[in-house]
Amino acid sequence: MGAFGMALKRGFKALLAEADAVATVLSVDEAEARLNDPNTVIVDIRDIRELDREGMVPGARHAPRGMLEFWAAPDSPYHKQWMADESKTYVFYCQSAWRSAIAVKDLMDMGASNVAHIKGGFKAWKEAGKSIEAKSAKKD
Amino acid sequence: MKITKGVKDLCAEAEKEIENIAIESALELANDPNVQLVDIRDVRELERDGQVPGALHAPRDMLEFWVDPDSPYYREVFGQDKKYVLFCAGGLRSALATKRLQDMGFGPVAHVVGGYGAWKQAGGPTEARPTKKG
Repeated sequence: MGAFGMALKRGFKALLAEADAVATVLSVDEAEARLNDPNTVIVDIRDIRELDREGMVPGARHAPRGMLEFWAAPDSPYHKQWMADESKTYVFYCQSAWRSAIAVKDLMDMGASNVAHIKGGFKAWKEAGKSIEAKSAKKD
Repeated sequence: MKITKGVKDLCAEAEKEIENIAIESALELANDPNVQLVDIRDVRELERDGQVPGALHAPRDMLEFWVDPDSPYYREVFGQDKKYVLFCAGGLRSALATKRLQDMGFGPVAHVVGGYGAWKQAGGPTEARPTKKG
């Protein structure tokens, strides 16, 4: 039987610790410096409602975390060609860099190496006064 | 990015380790007071395709944080003495999500093979998602 409401043997903190041990982290400033870098794709993995409410990093693509492995993997019926470029670095962010840490680790476990995430996520980006773009109507 | 291990392998590995519930059994479990059905799809899928009456919506991207009592995002609905049966649209995301929660020590947890698509095809009850915000 499960231990309901009790501490989990490998809870989210353990997942984050495992992710932090391997995932490349960019500071907000380092991420900003890559905004116009043709070799970088910045990817917002938050829920669509968060993008609508808060806006996005300018030029970022949206790939909801719930679909991430299925958009990234070429053997998936949902694969997105824009995620397949092996010459580019994919820089992910979420709201506060928890989901993005685990997402980067999950992609690394699938073989991805040119992946990173933004320290502190969109919250840190916003607090640092960086520019924000409204979610456009374009498709993901 | 270069992916060397695809989702077919990931899902197959997950299904070897988790409980996979066929749609016929899932339809019966829907009325079991000891079962909580959990819809892990994106909210836009629920708005577009409808939802299962009584199922809890917990988007996959927040699952690890909603089920963990140590997390600031913990939802008490995940603290019930019930079996949590996850489903998505086709049974792929739910296989990975179920494996993840099981690996965390959360459970009992299982997933519905074929997901909401199979549910609809089998004549399971559905409803439109209320249009309220959030």
